[in-house]
Amino acid sequence: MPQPDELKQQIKQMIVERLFLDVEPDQIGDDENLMEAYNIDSVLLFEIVVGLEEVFEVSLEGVDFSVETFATVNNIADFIVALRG
Amino acid sequence: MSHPRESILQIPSDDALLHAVYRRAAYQSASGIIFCDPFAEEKKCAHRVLVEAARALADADLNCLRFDYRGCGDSSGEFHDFTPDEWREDILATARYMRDELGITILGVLGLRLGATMAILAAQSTELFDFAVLWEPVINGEQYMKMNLRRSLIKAMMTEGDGFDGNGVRSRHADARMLDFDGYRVSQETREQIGRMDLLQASPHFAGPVLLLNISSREQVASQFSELAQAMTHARAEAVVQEPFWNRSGIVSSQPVATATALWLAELQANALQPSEL
Repeated sequence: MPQPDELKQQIKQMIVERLFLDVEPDQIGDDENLMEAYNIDSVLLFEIVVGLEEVFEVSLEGVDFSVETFATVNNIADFIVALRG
Repeated sequence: MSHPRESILQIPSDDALLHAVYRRAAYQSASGIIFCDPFAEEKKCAHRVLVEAARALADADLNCLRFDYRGCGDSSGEFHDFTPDEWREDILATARYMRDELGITILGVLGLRLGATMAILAAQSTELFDFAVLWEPVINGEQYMKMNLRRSLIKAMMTEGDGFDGNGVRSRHADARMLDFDGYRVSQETREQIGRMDLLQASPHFAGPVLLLNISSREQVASQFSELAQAMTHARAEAVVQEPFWNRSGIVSSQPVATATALWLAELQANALQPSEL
């Protein structure tokens, strides 16, 4: 399991790549509201979910989550840590 | 005054009339290509990229035909009355039209997502096609339908708030005779037919040259696309870094996919369609 900062960096990198965002990963704040900052709709949220599965080799199929789970990089990191036990 | 290079056609396919747009090649070419649209909402999102790609390929001297499957777009019929089996027949009907009515002697098929899957399945059932271009084909239909379910779940989660009922969404996808899928009424038969599509298991035996584009944020071809290319007789897989325009509502350039396709076609032409040169 990567260290917390490394994990967050991987999450930011994945988000920037998969969403083709015109920002550097470091520009995304750990507690920044991703939905509002990057206009994330259901299509883009799906991209994030699939990206997390690929990068972190976890399956979110059948896992209960809410929009809040993906609201910030910190929330996503907590979610990944919990998933991996 | 120059002659218009784009014309509207109506192509018969069984009892249906297919709406088509034909873009003549820039010069006197007898080569052509038929565009096969993706499924449902993906077709809407991809429309402009496909229009621009057809124009770019026509400028590269290929006669391009875009058409709507029966029940789709401006073609006759209702979407929910038809299935992928019939849409594959439409691909063959347009191919016969291109050869018999438009005088195309070297003919290819270009499909996007489920359109690519149907295109290669149609191409291998006939000798109408000389080459194929597959843009991000759906390799496994069952997996594709699962992804669509997950997309629907996320959409419902974001829009229904406290009223979100995940089990209700799952149950509708599994059992509804007619599923409302992003505003498209999709029959159980269509869902089952898509679920049975599996290109790796089918090992498409199309004998002509095939270009397979893996369109994503990655510069390497994903393993499933490499595997598919290896399973085909003369296929090449390439990665194209581009937004997945079939599920984006904003403006996306057609240039990366159109350029990759035009370069491959130029190479084919230079090699006089010799698949062994691929």
